[in-house]
Amino acid sequence: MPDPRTAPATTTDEGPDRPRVCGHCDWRFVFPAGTVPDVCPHCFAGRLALYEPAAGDPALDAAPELMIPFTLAEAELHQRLRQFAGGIPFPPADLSVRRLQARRQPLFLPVWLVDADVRAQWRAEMGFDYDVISHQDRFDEGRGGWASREVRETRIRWEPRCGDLERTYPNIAAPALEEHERLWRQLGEFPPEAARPFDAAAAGGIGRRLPGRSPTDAWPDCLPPLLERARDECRRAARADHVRQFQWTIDAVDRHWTFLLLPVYSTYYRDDEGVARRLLIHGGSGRMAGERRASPRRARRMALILAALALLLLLLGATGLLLGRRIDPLLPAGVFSCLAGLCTGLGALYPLVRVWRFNRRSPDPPLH
Amino acid sequence: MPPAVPPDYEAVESALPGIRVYRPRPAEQAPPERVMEFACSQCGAVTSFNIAAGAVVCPHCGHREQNQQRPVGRQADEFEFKADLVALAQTGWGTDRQEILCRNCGARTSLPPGELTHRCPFCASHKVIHRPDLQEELRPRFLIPFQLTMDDCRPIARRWLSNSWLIPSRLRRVADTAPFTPIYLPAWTFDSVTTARWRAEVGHTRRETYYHQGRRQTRTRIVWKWESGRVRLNFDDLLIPGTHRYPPHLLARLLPFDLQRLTPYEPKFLAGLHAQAYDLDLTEAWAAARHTMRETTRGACRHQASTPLIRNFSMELDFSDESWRYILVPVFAAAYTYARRPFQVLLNGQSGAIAGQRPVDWTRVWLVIAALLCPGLLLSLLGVLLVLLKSGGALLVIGLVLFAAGIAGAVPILLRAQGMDDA
Repeated sequence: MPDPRTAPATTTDEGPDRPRVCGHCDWRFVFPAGTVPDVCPHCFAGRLALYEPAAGDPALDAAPELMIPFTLAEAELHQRLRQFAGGIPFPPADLSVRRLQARRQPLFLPVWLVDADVRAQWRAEMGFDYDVISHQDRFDEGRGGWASREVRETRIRWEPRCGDLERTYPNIAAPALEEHERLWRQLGEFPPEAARPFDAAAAGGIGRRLPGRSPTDAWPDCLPPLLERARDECRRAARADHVRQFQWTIDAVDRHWTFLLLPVYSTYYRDDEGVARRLLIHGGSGRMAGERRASPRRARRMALILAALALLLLLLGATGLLLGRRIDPLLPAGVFSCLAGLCTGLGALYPLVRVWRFNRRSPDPPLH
Repeated sequence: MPPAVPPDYEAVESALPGIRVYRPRPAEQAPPERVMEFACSQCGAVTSFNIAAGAVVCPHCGHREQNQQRPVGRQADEFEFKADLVALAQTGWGTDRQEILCRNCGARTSLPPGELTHRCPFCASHKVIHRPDLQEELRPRFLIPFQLTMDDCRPIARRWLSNSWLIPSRLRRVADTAPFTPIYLPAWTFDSVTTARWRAEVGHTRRETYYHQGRRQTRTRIVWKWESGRVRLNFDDLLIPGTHRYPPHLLARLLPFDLQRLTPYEPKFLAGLHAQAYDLDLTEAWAAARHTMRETTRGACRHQASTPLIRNFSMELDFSDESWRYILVPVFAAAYTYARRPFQVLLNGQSGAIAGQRPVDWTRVWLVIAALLCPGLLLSLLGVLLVLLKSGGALLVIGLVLFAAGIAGAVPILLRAQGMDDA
């Protein structure tokens, strides 16, 4: 398997900015001319092939309008990678900060932004806080009888409200990828206010992933956050403290779509079986999404060494016990050696258990 | 063009542009008249509430205005102890008198604060006063209508004044002449759940056998053990009188009132009757109710202990689900003078329970006590004399026994008489 770190970016004769698809993970990219890697920068397992979008493919509409620039400082990134690689018991031989740094590739991920002008009618129960006075008393025979304490408790008065709204809700993120929700959960938010107009020169040399979902397809996913915003605004408009059973009927909505690119770094390490374990890093906050795996092979090797040592100590101990019948000083040495052998034998289980437990509580599974 | 406001809703001010907010329109309520006067719709004569008829009746032409309100009982609305309302309730009525103008005769009258009804001294027309400065919750919302008439009061009072030989005979005649006045008195009802956790040392008696100087003996020893428990009591409609004008122990004897008869307040109920607003405010009344509730809860906690021997008792008590209601209760009040001393009598206008002060005929009491003590005293003195003359002591013994029996009979009479006189 070729090492993508060393795979040179090739200039192919298919021409610049042609869509490419990974045969292994099916992620689709566009790379500036002269920077097309041989291996997919996401799964680091498949090769990239030219890809012809069919009619209606969302990739056809994907002319970037906005981008969030990479702002993660090198020192911060280094620190994050060190955190990622550190603290793993028996780490794979391939997992080191130096290698992660060397294999790091910048990449843009797509997302749709929608500005929605909404006209709707709404209905909800609004909750208004109010204080009531209660009491807690204490009686102690030895301390002079009763002592009373006033306690204030906040309660909610629910009242029905309805109305209509005519508002603009800007910058609602709509998924352009099937993995959008999981990516967001793992990497965290990308602040839309940091977006700048797309500048090909500023994004020079950086590949970008093509959207897998069209705005039409993504719109239903915008409705829950839109509802959440409307719900909160209606609560504020009614000067209420709480809201429940919010319902709305959208009369009309005008949508303005923008294609935004989000900065991430992609890198990987190989586990015992040589499988590439991907790591995505938020290009602004440095938050990471990737699997930290310990090496069962190294743990097994350590367990075998300890087991062999335990066997040796047991043999020595048994010999000492046998000879101890005739040579008295060897008897305690034999007992001690047997005990040390038993302890070492038990200790041989530790690496296996430790690695098994570490790999078992691995966080989110990798993206496919 | 903005959308129309939904039916039965009204617009309220919105805090955000582009969002309109509507709320349900409150039920139409005409602002209550500050002073409500009662005149017959047929002949224009002054009318008043007739307890026997249960309606406002014209004494002139007999026209009756039936009450629309029906009893709601314990389902009557209750209120929470909202912080702002409690603060307002503590301000009281103030001391300003209010001036009202009689529409019937044009006379101006000055009323003290706290009066809910008034009878014009010039034309005798009846008025029910609505205090404009009241919080909605702090005006009477429910009342228990009178179920007894003034005619029912007399036999009750006569029985009460003649059921003891300690009372002067002349007083029975007073019962026939003392005027009973129907009056609505203020009262508060409180609900609460008390949850208490208690801990105490509880004593258990043990009989022990031991040997002292070779002799087997027994003794009782108390073994103290810590015990703890939890008590939860539900207090429903604990009634606390809302007035200082009558002695609390008299008002307490009028209880209970049947709250199943609670009826929504309507000024008609008060027409021609006396009614008073509370002068024991919500916080004072709630403090009194809490005192009763916590002592009851303490008693329940102590009762839960495995024996009545308790020491180092402590408990923590939480009040929850507290609510209150301000009501008017029906009472007949009468005052009479006897031996130049004024006495008060109150009668529950619903159940007929009576409480009051009854003067004691002390001359009669002392004569009876003297009659009880004299035989023993005389025989004892005679017995002493005979003992001195060495003629025997049997008479002295009999005299002392009779004297002791006389004291035993006199003391309860004296205590009972004192109790009646102090009431």
